[in-house]
Amino acid sequence: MKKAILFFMIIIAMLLTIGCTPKQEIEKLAIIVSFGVDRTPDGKYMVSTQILKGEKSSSAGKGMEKGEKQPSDVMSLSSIGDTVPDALVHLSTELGKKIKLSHVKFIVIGEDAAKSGVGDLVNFVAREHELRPNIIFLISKGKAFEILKAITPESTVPTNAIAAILNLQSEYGYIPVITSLDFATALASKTASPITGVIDLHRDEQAGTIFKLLGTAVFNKDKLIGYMDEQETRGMQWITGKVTAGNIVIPSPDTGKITLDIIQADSTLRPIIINNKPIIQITITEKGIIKEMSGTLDIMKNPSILKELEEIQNEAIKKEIEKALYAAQKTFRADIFDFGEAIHRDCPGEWKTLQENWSEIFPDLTIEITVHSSIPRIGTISKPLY
Amino acid sequence: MTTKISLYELFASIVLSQYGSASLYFLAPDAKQDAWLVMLIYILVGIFLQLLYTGLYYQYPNDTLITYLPKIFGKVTGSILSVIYIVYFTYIATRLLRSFSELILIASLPDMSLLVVTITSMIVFSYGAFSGMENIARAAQIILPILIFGMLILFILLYATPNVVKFHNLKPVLENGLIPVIKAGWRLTTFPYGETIVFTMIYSSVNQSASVRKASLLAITFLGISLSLNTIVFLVSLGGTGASASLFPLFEALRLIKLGFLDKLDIFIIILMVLGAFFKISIFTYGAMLGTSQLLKLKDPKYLAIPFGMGIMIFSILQAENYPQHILFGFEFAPLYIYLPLQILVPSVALLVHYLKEHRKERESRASMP
Repeated sequence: MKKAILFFMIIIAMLLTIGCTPKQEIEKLAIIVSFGVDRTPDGKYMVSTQILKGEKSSSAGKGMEKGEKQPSDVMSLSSIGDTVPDALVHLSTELGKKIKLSHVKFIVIGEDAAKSGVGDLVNFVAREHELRPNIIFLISKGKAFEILKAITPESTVPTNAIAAILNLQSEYGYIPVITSLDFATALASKTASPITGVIDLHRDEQAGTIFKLLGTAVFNKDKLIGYMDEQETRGMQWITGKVTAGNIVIPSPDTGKITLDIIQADSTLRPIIINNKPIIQITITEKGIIKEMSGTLDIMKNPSILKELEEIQNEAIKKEIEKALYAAQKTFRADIFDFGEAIHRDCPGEWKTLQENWSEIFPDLTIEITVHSSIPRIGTISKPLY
Repeated sequence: MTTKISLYELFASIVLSQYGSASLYFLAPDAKQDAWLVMLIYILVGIFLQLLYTGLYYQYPNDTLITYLPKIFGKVTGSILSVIYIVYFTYIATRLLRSFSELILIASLPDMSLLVVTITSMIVFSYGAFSGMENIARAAQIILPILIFGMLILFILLYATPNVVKFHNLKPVLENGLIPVIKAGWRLTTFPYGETIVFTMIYSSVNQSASVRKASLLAITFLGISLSLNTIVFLVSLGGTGASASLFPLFEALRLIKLGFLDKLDIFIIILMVLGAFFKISIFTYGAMLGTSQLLKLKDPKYLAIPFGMGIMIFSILQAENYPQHILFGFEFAPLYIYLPLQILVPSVALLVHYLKEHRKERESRASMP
């Protein structure tokens, strides 16, 4: 008798706990892998999405003709609504499927939307439980809509292609990877200016569409105020210590140019206060190896040439950093490096007085840059063959 | 009473019952990046409270809170206080049941009905209370290493995720000095440390009564250090502002884990947190049941699990219309007017009255001697 009761209790418990209540069937879900936000002229939001297709397109697997376009595994759809989530709901009614946002990799914000302010979007991303705080923000120089509907030659899911490019470019330092958490933190800070990476389209006759992820978008509060190009962006990434690969081209002391391959780089940032004036000391350490050099220099015979090359390399890196500092301090007058918070962390006492007129102090802030670079190896040949 | 638990089981129950619920929230948001220091400082308060509770226990080694209160304050006042404590234990279980149901609803299943989550989880929790403290404590000694191990693995994964952990978020340390930081953390007295008053119901079941104080002090210290570690984890990954805006900061921080295929670990995190909730709710329900049975002189508290379980379930839904109301009441009103008197005032007055009585008895006996 007892066993029978127990048996029924287990059955009831199983029925209660299998978790079927808000059931989600995969074919009834619209799994969004990335979306873009634009503003329409009448102040509404247009959201464009890339949605994974439930089933493989019919031509896949048949063997493709040469030159035939690869079928895409995503569909690009867009809809309009009063707010971003409203537009997403409209999209779901058009599709007849529920929206699933858990797999969103990044959000592209169109230039118009960015100029009119992205505060609402940042709050939406933070509040919505399906979106994680590590979603990447990108600014498109044109309409976000055009990025989302573009199809790449090499991948059937353009979102993955963009994510791969982003990953690589951020190692080279040509684009910052800014997550919604980073953006929100900068936005919540009273002195820092948020930044994001920039995405652009490049149309090529032969290869079709190519995504270009280069440069930085600079914000004042939540509004876009301008762009930094790739050189300035790398200067910025030197300071934040995010450059880990890539190359530097320097003029040779002899003739021609030398290409150095960055194998390691790091930076430390130290604010000090002298006579009530803040000074930021930046120290960069970098290691590069020679990849290509022209001229007739024989380094194996005379290693002191490397010292000379290191000096030139130091100057080259310093110049890139100065470019970024000029853009931030003079062009945008925006503290994109978060120097304010750095002073706050190390000199909290002085920061209280500095904080109030930081916007006046920052453009004339003294920044001392020291670069220690070294060239430990020179490649596989000792002297130029020709 | 036949319930017997070992010292290690007591240690594990104290740690688990408070860790599970305290790791949900940012307990000292006003202290911002110094919150982890506050956690460490308030261990001292926790130790003081434990000394108070165990002090009472050593005076009445065979009684629980519910049975020695009438002995100290007299039958009428003592019994009224006992009833208040039973209601208080039930209320804490109610609050926590709601908090965890809301965590599940907010973080992973927004379309689910609150009732379903509450019923399914309360069936398990009241079964825990039904099986008695001995079984809860035995489960605790198995679960504690699992929970610690699981959390440590999650912390290591978070640390290994690139560009997430920024230790500079902990700076500047003590920006405005120590006093505002200590002020910002006063609620820690009531939650988590003050809530260990429920163990005054359980001390008398420990088989080595001489070492009860040692085990509970160790448990409090261990709890404080692990909560401080939790605070460091979410402060370094979310920053002071991000953490204070988040409803469940530790959960939000651990969601950032992204290491190749190790991604979207939300459910594992929730499971680990609900493990802690099981112990707290079961122990508080058991405390209320045991108290009732002792007050009404019932033989076995076992079957009280059914009415108490149902009551906790129903009241957890009725007690607040929405989540903000639930939190606001629990963090603004309740600590000052409910928790502080019940957790500090009544026990210290009880100890004081006890000593005065002893003193008078001694004097009387000395006066009658010659």
